[in-house]
Amino acid sequence: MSLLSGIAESTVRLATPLLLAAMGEVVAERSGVLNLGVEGMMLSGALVGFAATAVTGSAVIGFFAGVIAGMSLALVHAFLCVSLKADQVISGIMITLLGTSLTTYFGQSWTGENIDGFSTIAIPALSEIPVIGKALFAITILDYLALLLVPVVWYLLFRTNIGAEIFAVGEDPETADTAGVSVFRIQYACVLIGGAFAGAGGAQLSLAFTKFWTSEMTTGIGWIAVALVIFAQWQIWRVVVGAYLFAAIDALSIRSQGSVDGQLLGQEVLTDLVNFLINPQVMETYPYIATILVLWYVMRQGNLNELGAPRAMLQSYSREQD
Amino acid sequence: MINTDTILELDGITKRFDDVVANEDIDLSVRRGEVHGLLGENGAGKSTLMNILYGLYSPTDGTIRFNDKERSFSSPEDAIEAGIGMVHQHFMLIPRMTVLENVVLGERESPEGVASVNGIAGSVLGMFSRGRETPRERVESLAEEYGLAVDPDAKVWELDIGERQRVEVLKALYRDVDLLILDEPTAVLTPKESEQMFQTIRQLVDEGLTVIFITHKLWEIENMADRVTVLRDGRKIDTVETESVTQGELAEMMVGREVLIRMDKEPVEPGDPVLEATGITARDSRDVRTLSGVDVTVHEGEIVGVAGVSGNGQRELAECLFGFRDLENGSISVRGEDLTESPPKRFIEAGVSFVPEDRYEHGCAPELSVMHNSSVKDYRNGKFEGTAGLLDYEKMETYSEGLVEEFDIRGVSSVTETEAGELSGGNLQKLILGREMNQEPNLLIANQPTRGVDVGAIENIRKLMLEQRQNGTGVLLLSEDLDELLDVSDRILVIYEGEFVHETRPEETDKWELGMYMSTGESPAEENAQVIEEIQ
Repeated sequence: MSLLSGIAESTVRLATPLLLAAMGEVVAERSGVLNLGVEGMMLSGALVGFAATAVTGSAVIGFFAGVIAGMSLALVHAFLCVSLKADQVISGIMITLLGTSLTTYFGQSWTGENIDGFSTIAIPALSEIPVIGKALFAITILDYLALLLVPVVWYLLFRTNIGAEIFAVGEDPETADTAGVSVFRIQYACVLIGGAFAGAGGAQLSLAFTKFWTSEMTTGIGWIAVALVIFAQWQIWRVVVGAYLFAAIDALSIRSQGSVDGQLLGQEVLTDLVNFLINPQVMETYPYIATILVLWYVMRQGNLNELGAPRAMLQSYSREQD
Repeated sequence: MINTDTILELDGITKRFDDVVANEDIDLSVRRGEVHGLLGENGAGKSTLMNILYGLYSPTDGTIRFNDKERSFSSPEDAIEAGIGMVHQHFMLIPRMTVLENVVLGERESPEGVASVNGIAGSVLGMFSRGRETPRERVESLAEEYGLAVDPDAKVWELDIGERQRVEVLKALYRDVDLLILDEPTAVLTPKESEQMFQTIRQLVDEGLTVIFITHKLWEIENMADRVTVLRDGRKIDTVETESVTQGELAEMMVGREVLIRMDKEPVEPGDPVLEATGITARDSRDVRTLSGVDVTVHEGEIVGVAGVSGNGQRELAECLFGFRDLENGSISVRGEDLTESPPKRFIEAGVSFVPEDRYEHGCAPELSVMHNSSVKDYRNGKFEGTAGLLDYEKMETYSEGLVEEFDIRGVSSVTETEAGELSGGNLQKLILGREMNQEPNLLIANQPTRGVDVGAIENIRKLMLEQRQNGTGVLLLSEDLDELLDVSDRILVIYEGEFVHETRPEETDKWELGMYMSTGESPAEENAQVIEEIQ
């Protein structure tokens, strides 16, 4: 029982940064701007959040500093892609590389330090529920915040005028423009929201999860978030499912010993296979394989529209370019 | 002197794109409550001028007065605010959104209660809420009032072309415009849908709206417009009362010379068959059988016309005969060589040229230069071979420049820089035709070569096809334009639901008879005659 509840608990905590980053990515991509800089934005959120907390002693201030760090890099991305019409893929990768190297350099002096960070808040009674109690009701404020943001983002995207405008811009910016929607403002806002969410996800890692800083501590969560958006076909509720699924795999791989004792069904080949499959390094590839499977499953039916990708993603729009 | 009867006054509008002058010193005055035609060939600058008025482009020079105030629109939002609506030539609709969502897009309709909040709080609430009940009622009542029936909850991709056009008009009306710009609204409509469209326009004008109607179809101007302004090569030629001019005079103003709409064709003795296709059966992209056992033979020096209402298998037929679509059954041979189930490359090698229906999708690579597009069928045959197996770009450039010159392709500032997709529809079509005809083909398959092309270019394209015929090329011409078929064909086949239902010669038939076969698949019966006459 304690093993299961342990896995459940780390699943929820591991899911938070993934959920935050992926939700932000959905918002950005729905406006037609692919953001491959998530990993870099998360790292800068993690380091700046950590440093600000260590200096001020307040995790809340640290958290917001992390959010702003994510947004600053997002502003660079928006400026390059929306204002200058640069290639979104190149800009995004550049930002991830930039974020990684900057945080590695400036993070040196923070390595080894400890902070109090965010502590868990247990909801009485509910947190006593076996297995899932601690996982869902004895978590930090940031984990609650991520879950709370799910319906908020969903509402924003699917139940508001601005949500319809974001969708329209991501589908066909020219049409949105002729209907009087400011493509420029919408795309900037969405990329910045994406950066804020990525920064928040990074800050959660260093402030609530590990409570220390180490370089490249996001270990690819930003990339998984990008894959998760495709896996979820740009739907918020699927992002939630995917985030928990991927986090559960991650939680399992951390606890996995990488080997099964004894003979499984008496067959050596099978034992080897299982050992291979539960090898932590192999398990890390599962989110990507799952994404490929979703792509395969959807594209097998024939067309890109059914995948749900915003149609104008990667295109830069300018009026006088007919 | 400002006349209050004038709703719009453009003064000295000039627009340059880098070196290309799209509009030069254009003055335009539109009276309140009129239908003002804007006539010109493709690439004459009509759409550019209207995009300036709609705030999409900013003019290099000149002023706009609208409703007695000088305006400068920096975005469509400003133009909409001022009371200008525009229905673009290409639909400006989001297919994955519903009709209602498309109509209200950008308006930020709030639910009742929120709508009454003013100021900043009101606009923030407007962004983060959504009201659809009142807008829905308004859309429904507008639709009813103007005969623009369409289901507000249908997704736009589910609608046919006519319905989409109605949504576009609804979108403009919903925004309470005083001036409605229609950019070639009938280009994609069937004659019946066009008639409905005209009905709606008349009703709108009766209620005090002003309409600017862009077209290159002369009869539409004659039918609809009170006055007409003619543009040519980015300049204004004149504004005239429609009643005071004939179609011929308008055509001359538009093209700058006398236009021969009817062609004289010299008799050519057909030679050996170049194309023999038998029992062609094929399915369309949705896996519906659209051709059921069709036979076609085309001889050297013969133009065979295929008449039919769009969607009766013409597209599939053209694609099958070029190896672009798989046959379910049947065989194809070109000059005696069996090409059944061969890829397009073999057809090209056998001397088959192809002008596809969709010139942007299949006729060119829109983002490549004019040079690349004009040499795309020749790079393999050694025509442009340079040293060490590389292509000689200078040869390609010279060749392409020659092609642009010979076929009078306009809007090309540099063959290496101008992208094919930047050309206007008619000029792109000339580029494609030029490329295909320079192959000196044995067989030319042309699907709707003159659709959406202006009078001057149509004349050229028909001439080119007749020249090919003179040179002994066999031509298969698929067209919806019956005048064209009657004019240039030696033989006409009528296709109906994937089968040829009638074969005739131009001198033995007329539009009326062909129309009857096309729409019913049967020979005209006496009692139907009157109905047809009414439609015509």
